[in-house]
Amino acid sequence: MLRHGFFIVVFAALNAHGLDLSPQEIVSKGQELLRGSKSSRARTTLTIVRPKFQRRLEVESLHQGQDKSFLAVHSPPEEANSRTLRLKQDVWTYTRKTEHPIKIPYSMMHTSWMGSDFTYEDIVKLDSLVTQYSHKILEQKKDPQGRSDILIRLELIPFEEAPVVWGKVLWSAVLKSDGSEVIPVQEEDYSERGDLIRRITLENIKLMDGKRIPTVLTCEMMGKKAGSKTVLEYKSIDFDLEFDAKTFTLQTLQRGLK
Amino acid sequence: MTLALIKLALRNVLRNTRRSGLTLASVVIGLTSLFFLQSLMKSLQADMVERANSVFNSHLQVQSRESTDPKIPEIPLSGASWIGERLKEHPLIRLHSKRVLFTALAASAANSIGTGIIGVDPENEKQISSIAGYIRDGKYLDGPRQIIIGAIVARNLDIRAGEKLVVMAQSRNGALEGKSVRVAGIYETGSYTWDASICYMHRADAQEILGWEEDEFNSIAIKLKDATEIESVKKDLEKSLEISARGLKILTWKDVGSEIVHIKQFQDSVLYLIMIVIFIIVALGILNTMLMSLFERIREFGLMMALGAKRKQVALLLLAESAWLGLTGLLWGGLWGMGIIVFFHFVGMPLPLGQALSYFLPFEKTLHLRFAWGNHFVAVLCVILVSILAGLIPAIRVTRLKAAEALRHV
Repeated sequence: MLRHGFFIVVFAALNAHGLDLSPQEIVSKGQELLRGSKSSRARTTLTIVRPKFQRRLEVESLHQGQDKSFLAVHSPPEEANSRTLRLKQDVWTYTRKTEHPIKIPYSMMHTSWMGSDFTYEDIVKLDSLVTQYSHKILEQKKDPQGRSDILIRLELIPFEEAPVVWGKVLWSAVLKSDGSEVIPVQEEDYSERGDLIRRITLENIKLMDGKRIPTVLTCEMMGKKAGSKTVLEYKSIDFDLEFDAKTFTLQTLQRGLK
Repeated sequence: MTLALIKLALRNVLRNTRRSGLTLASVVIGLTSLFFLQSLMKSLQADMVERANSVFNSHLQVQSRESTDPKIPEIPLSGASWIGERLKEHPLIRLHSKRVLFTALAASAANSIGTGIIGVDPENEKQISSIAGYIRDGKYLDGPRQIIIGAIVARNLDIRAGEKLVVMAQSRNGALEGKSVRVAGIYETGSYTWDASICYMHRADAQEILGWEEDEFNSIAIKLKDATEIESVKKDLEKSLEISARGLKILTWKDVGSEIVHIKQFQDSVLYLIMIVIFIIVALGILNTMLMSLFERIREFGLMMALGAKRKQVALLLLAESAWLGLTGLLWGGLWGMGIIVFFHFVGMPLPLGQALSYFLPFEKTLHLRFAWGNHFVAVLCVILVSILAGLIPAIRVTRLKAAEALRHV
């Protein structure tokens, strides 16, 4: 009887601690999901909502590893052939009007990409949530919406010296109890004062190319910029492709994808 | 004889008090307004230079010879600690401050903006520049990983003293480097350019972001004990720092703040233009008066000549009359002008122009006038010259009169 009780306690402790993954690994796995561990190619629509107008772009996005990305706009016609290339920390854009790749200076990294609520820095610094923050589990329970087994909420506090602007990030994901699947569902970015500045919600989980992924990603601005949001919707995504060696080059940026 | 002439001239001037009074008024008003304008411009300029120097330009700066931008020199001085040692030896140098200047992106949770960052040794900078005196919230830099920012930067970033700011810039190897710092204080100078774009942080932090060594900086600002010694100290330093061999250059505040020198030049030329216009009007006024009194008194001059007055004496009489008008005007105009300057020296005048200038520089909203003796002297000389020249034309005319004809003139 005593033995039995001991097992229950140990089992409960293990469960509370959160599976086989550490909180950091959970965030890392969640962040990796949409890019693919090796590479990915996706077709998306990007809807930019502003208090006074709304705009829709068709965007194709390619990612390879941690540090190579390529984004191409296919419609509307006036913005078609606008392309963005990222190699490590450097970002270049190309539009038909300039007919020349322009390197985004560091001073513009915080400006918006294609007029959306995403910045160039969001494209560059995808792994900062993993490396620049300490991770604490706030809550862990059975997922009430049944998207996966467990809903987990983490509090991410940046290290004192980390070059990040947020004071706190609340990050939630749903995951399988064996840790084989982590799907991020929400990220809330707070200022140091505790004001919510930006909320990213990931919903509408579907099976695409053998993986379950959230297909609608909504980035909502709070506070002063309230009323602005950007919705990224995945039409299709393929994972772990082999890209041509020339894909992530300035040449392709100028000529366009095949 | 001369005394009699001067007395006679005075009596002639006083004969028609209204006309003489009006002419006198034109001289007085002309000179008074000129004194005032000169003092205004020069006080403005002196204030501007003083403030620009105390905020940023300093008296002298040592920079790399290859840099082309004197404000944010793009080429750093490297291995330059020895320069500081050498500067300490000069008896006329009060102190110096090593600065690292660069443009960066300052980002808060709410927003991000481009700024100019000055990396300084806080204690030195405090003595060389007046920025510490403008701190409104929080405190001046007193530890590492701190920054002080302008009030408009703070507003745009929605950030308060004590909160976090990320400074991002391109480092030497081209990578994007970021560093999080705490806002120690927020300053408000009233100048848009400063409050909206300039931040101060520790030199070591700035060097770390840029990937620079401890003895690398863009510029060394030097403050002298006596601002009049700028040129001579510059010459001394050019020799003692072996500037051509070491690839250095020494800039005075005029080189660094060349826009101030240009503003000064522009103001000076406007001032001269105004002075010329005023004196043309004054000269025409005196000339008109003199010619009228000449034509009125042709028979009188004929009589004088008939009685034995020489042409030269009559001409001198006219010149003396003109001189009376000019000199009396000079006296009153000078006194009024000085009175106004003294008044505004103590009271201070509100200056919309100051607000316009404060776009670029911290500037007081009231200006305390001071004398601009050099310019006043020129104005006085001009009054004398004008009154003589204006008397000269009627004086020459009077010499051409023939006594007999003049007597019969109607």
